[in-house]
Amino acid sequence: MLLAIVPRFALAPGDPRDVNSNLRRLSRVDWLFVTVAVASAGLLATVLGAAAMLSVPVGVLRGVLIAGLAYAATYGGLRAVGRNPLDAVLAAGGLLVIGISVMGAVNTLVAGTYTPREWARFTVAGLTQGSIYALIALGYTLVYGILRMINFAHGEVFTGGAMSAYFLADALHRTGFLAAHPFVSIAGLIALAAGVSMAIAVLLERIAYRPLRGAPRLVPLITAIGASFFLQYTYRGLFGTGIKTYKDVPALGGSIQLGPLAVGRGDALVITAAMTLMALLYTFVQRTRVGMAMRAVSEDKQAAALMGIDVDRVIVTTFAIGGALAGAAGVLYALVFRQTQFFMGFVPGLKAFTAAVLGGIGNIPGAMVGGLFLGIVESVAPFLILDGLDLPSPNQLKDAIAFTMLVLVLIFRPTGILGERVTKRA
Amino acid sequence: MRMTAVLRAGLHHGLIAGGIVAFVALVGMVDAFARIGVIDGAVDLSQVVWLGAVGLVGASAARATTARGREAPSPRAASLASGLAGVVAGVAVAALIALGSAIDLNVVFEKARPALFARLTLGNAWGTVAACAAAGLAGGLVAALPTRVRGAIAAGLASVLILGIAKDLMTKIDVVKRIDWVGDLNAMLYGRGGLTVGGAAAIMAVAMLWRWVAPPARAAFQARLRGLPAKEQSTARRTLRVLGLTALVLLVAWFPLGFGRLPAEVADLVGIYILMGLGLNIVVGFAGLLDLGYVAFFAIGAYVTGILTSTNANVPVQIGWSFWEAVPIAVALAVLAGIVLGVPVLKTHGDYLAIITLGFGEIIRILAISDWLKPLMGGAQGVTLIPKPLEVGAVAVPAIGRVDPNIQQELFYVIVAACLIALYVAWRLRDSRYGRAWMALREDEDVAQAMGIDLVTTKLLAFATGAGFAGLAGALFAAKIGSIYPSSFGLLVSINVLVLIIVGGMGSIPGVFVGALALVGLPELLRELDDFRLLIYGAVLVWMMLKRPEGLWPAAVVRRELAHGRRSDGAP
Repeated sequence: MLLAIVPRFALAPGDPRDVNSNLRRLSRVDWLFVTVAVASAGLLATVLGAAAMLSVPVGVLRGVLIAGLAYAATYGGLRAVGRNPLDAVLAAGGLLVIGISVMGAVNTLVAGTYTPREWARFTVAGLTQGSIYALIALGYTLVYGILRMINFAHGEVFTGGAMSAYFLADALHRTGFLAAHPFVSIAGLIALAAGVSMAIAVLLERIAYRPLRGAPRLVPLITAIGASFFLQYTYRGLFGTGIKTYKDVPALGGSIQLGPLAVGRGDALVITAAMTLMALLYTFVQRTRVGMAMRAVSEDKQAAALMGIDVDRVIVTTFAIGGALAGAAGVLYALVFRQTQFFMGFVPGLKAFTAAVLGGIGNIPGAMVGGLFLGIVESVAPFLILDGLDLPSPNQLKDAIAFTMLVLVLIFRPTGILGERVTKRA
Repeated sequence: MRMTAVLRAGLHHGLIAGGIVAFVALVGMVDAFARIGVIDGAVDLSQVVWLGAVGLVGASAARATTARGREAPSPRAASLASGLAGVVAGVAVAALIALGSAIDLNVVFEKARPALFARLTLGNAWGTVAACAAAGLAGGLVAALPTRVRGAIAAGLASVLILGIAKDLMTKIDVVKRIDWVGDLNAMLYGRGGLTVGGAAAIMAVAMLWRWVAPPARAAFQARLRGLPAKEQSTARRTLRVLGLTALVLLVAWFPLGFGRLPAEVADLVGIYILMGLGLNIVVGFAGLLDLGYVAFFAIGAYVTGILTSTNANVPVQIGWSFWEAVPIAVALAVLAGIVLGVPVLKTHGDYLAIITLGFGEIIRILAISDWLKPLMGGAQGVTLIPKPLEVGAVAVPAIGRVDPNIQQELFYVIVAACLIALYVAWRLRDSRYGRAWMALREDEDVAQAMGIDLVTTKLLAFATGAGFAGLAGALFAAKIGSIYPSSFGLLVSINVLVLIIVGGMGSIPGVFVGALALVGLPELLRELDDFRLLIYGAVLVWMMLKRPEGLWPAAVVRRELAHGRRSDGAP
């Protein structure tokens, strides 16, 4: 299996043996969206400018905004009526949500609750979180691209890496090696976690998914849900219910000054490591024979088999790569957030799936873009939008924002930001 | 069967068995189950589990040696393969024990303590190997027996196991305390830590005899019935059905009062899950829309009931309605929520639908726990002081005497009534135009649309009906526990309901009852199982999908497909 992952020959760019790249051009954006967004932004700017000059009370401002929203919703609805009443309802609902968000953002910015430095901090935190989501999302997207199934248990593959590396981290900490050679240690942790997660992912494929190839689509999904709970409670049984806290790595304390921006060393490490891994993966998929085989299988399984590609082996390789990336993500997550527990992978798994859908599922650059985007939205939006709506403790609702975004994307642009795959499959 | 193939089957299965035992031990099942006795002083549940696993794998090894065209394996090949499997498993377990005593596995595996290894060591390492070999061989030999004998042995062992672990329940229920002869019988069967040896033997004998005699007797009776003239035959069948139904009604009516509070409480929970199962069965089983956020409607039903009826002075808007006034509102709002949440997902399919609905379920829970809606829903403190729906004084119960029922016992009747209504609605809907439309939708959405089925109405009706059932279940749940907290409405509820309809058989109404009894009822009887409940659920889901996707009580359509020899998926 390991042999399958080692690239044999690198293909030069433009090599005729290379099938079309999966990276697709940014496609046409929904014009309705653009029109309404530009129009409402212009309208808002005018209204706000005027209001600031005339020092209109906030209440009146909100009244105007709500009227504008109602107008936008009706307009969108009527535009869509020509097609289908359902589209009208959806468009109205979606525009309402977007409009409320814009209103919240405007309120926050007008009130000036947070300084630019704070916004920068939220963004960096979002990038860190987002690069972890992106690494996990790659596993979803690779598997979906090839098998058209959601590996619901992928979040648990991530947990497996993070929890197994904890024991090595603990041992290294006790011997003092972690403090002495932090980066060697971290590389070791990532390697161990990647190995464990890879093994879990490959076993999962072998035991639970392979016998179900060709079964109706709900069957593997339900199996995956079962596998997810099985793995979660296996970790609970094996490692106990307690929280296992990664020890402090002194080298990751403090921050680096990038111009006016202070980036924590831990954040910098996570972002760099994730970017490196993603670049490696992209090169692997685009430039090697195995990567080419993966793309071929994802385009057409039968044709690939006829061309002499061992489809089963490619699928195992895909699971292995996805698992390894999830394991690496597990260690990076644990280095930043410290705490590991048996169910830690569930919510990041869901979020990463959201990220994969956001970017266009089945599309590798899409997963990266989607992950980063989701991470930033999740860390900025509670303060930007919810704060402006006067909701108490906005951070409690950040998961709700992620899921709302998933719903909006699936309604308005089910192919995601970069994807062009048709999602309608019974 | 060639010798090498037999040996390979044995070795392969032995390694699997060893892996299973190591897993069961390290995950903590052995420790937890050692506290549950099956036969007093002789056998506890942990031994049943790990030696039983070896036995089952031994049986499977034996079956793997079955020659082509034969029904059972030859005794020689069976005993060789299963015996080898047992020995290999035993050696693997002994190796685990040796490893555990050589290095401290406890650093990583929380349950790997000397006490665990002591439990696996039966006398010494050779004892473990011998016990595993014996268990494997026994499994293999049973597998080689004729079907009828095998059935009898399985029935006997299962009865002993179930009655053994149900000891706590059996000695605490009211029937045992109040009726003398039942108490005496019970005292004869049970010792301090499970069944007495004599009791176990008696149960084993009775169960085996029953399994031996009953199927032929039933077949003979059916044959005689078929031999009757058509008119008499239908009268006889009707009489039998009426008799059976009357007995069932009497038993259900007597159950909560006769069996006491604990069984009534469990039955209430089972009933609430049956309600939800019937609802989700419409959405998932009939219409094929995999909804993972079903808990949202359960939560809405519970919270609406709670908010409308709570008498807690902390609630800012004190409405203080009675349960009966609140239930229609709760159901109506749940139905409304079903439609509102149904609209955005109308255009999504399969796995996307599953994930979005999961997101909705989570959003509802996050909102319930948030500070934002705290004034209404109480945040993490929840809604408390929800009044009881009814108050009944002491009543005379046949064969038991006077009983003063508590809320759990009274609510049982309300829940049974709700289940009956839901059952009727689900059953009538299944055979209605909409039922047909749902099933067409499940099989192929595009074809269904081409045949003139309005997808929007049909899907929304499925979501709305399912949500209504869940809302009703939520209202009953709020009344049952008296105070509700957001933590009761996690994803696990949705998963529980999904698992129970899959285990019962997707799209099958009786399957919901079977699934709820097996998955909600059984774990309640065995509190020690609670830690492993989801582990077992997960394994059961995977196993069912791989081996028996049609469920324990498959729906008629699926069964027909099987009978026709088509590839049956049991799932949309």
